[in-house]
Amino acid sequence: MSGAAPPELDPHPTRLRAEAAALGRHILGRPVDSEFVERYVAAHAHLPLEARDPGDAAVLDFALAHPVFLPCLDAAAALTRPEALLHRKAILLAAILEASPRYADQFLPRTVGWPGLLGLGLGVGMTTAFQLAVGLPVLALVGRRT
Amino acid sequence: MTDAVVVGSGPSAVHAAWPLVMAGHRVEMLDVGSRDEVYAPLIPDGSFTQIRRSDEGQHRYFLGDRFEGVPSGSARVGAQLTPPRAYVNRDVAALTPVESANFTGMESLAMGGLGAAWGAGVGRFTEGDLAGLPIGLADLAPHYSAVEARIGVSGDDDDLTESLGLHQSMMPALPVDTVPARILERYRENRSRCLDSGFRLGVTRLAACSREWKGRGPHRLDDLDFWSDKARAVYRPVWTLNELIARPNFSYRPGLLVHRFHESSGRVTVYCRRPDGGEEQFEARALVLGAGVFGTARIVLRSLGLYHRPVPYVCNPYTYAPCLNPGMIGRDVADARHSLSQLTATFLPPGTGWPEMHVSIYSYRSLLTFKLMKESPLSAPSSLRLMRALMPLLTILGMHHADEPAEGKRVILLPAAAGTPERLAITHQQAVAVSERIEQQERRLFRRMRSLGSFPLKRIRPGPGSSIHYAGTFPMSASPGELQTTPEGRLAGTGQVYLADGSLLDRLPAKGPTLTFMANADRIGTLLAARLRA
Repeated sequence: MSGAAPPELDPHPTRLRAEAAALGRHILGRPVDSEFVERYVAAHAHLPLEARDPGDAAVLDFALAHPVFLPCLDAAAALTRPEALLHRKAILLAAILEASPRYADQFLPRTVGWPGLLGLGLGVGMTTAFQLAVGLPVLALVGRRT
Repeated sequence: MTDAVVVGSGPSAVHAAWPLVMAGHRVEMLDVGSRDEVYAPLIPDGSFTQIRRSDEGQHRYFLGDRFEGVPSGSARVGAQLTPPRAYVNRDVAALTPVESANFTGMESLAMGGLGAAWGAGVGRFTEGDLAGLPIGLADLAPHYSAVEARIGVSGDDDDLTESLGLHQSMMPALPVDTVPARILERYRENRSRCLDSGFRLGVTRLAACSREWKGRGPHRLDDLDFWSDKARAVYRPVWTLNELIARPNFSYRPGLLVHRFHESSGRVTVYCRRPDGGEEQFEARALVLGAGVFGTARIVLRSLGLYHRPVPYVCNPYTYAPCLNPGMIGRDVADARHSLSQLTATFLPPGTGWPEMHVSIYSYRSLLTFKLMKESPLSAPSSLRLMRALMPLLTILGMHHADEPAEGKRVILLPAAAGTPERLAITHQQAVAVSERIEQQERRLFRRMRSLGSFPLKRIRPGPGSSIHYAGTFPMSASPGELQTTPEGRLAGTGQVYLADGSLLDRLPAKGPTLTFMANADRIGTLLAARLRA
């Protein structure tokens, strides 16, 4: 990270890179540039991003091993455990992507008319309902595994 | 020996020092004086939106080199301190520890004190706001005018004048952002009904320049108020401090934490600690404490050896609420805007006997979107899609309530004990009747906001201390007892120790008190200057 204090290297940068790649695809629907992956790795030297309990870590491991479940687990975590490691890491990557000219336009406010807003609300509502239907039981099941 | 030592460099300290320096007295200002030396130079010219679209280095000041701009827990007091302003409470927890079960306040050891991150809303107190104090509006009026002329105030003579008064040489108000402008338009359409219900709305009076004012401003409307202010349009105490530093009879001494004072033979000795653990001492004919309510309380109680001795304090109860403004759906919003409070409302339903409530109305577009995503109960991509569409429709209501002294609100200095440093213990218990009144008043306010097309979504109470308005520890009295002050701000039982900050006011109305703190500090500095001359 240019100009930043040199971070202590995380003991598992390879895993963090894999996390950033998976979360990037989850948030933007496509891979993110390596510069942002490295910034995500560097952030772990500064932020308290440890699992709060073994179940928390298990959910993240499961989501990375089975990326198809990542959106459902993130939706379930955001609703029921907003401090879950998976969701916190997704928000961290969102912050990193937002603070860059390359992705800023995908985060800037946009004007939407009534039809667009209704469509958006309907789309988000249906997606979330499906994700919760899958994600809540998976989260409960995986989160209990230690 | 100098004429006066002033402690602190916040809004009260600099305006207490000003009349002393202008009267020709030799003044030394002692301060820790933390500063931002990293981020401010990195922020380029341009609006918030332009910078976000163009600056490759923006992550450094938006997120921070240590990612301190990415909050890890739930919303907290001081969440508005972006990385370029995080120096405002640097070292506070280590150097001035607080112990409390439920009070989360904010203090500052920065150059300019809490004024370095102040929201810049101003309003004069009324005679009623000063009831119970040994000074009246006539005592403060010339000092309001002097301070307003020094800092620059913009606003309109509108329905707020009854509550906030008129300011000296008021500049035209800064332009109001699109969504609040729509709320104001609806208020004007329904004005008589609003007034009948005790609701008044107007453009927020700000200590900010809408045109050039004494080498500062005008505001660039670049929506960067949370990050930088290259035009120096918004008043910060450091602007006054810089003017003082240019005077030969003023000396600013940063890097010093004032520990205690001792009086003898008509002089005051002030003992300070340096970061390296060394001590320095200064002698003066008078000491002026403007270290902020809790900072001043520490110095006074420690100097008098009054550990375990409770003193009162007051703190405005604070609630905020995001509001949705569906009337703005599909309408474009202006990019040229400021990020400070756009509108101010006062609410005093007739016949209730409640104290007046003050509400600041902000837009929500001046911070990064991920902060809203973090508070959303949706997955990251879903909340991103939704928040981008909702942000132009959002306003934030910041609701302040009056506060009075009560048994449950006490500050106690506890001595260091084995393994525990000396700390200030703050207890805060709000009477049930007060909580119920606040609840009812906010509900009625929400009804009024809905009638103006602004729909509150939920109430968030960050808890005691979150208003960052504190007062009442050593209140002025016509016949002051122990740990009270004279109308001139002198601490009873001392000969030359003066207090010049919020400590002196026994209660707080709902309106922002900073202008009054500055005006009262100017009054105390003026009276002391005359006394020193005599």
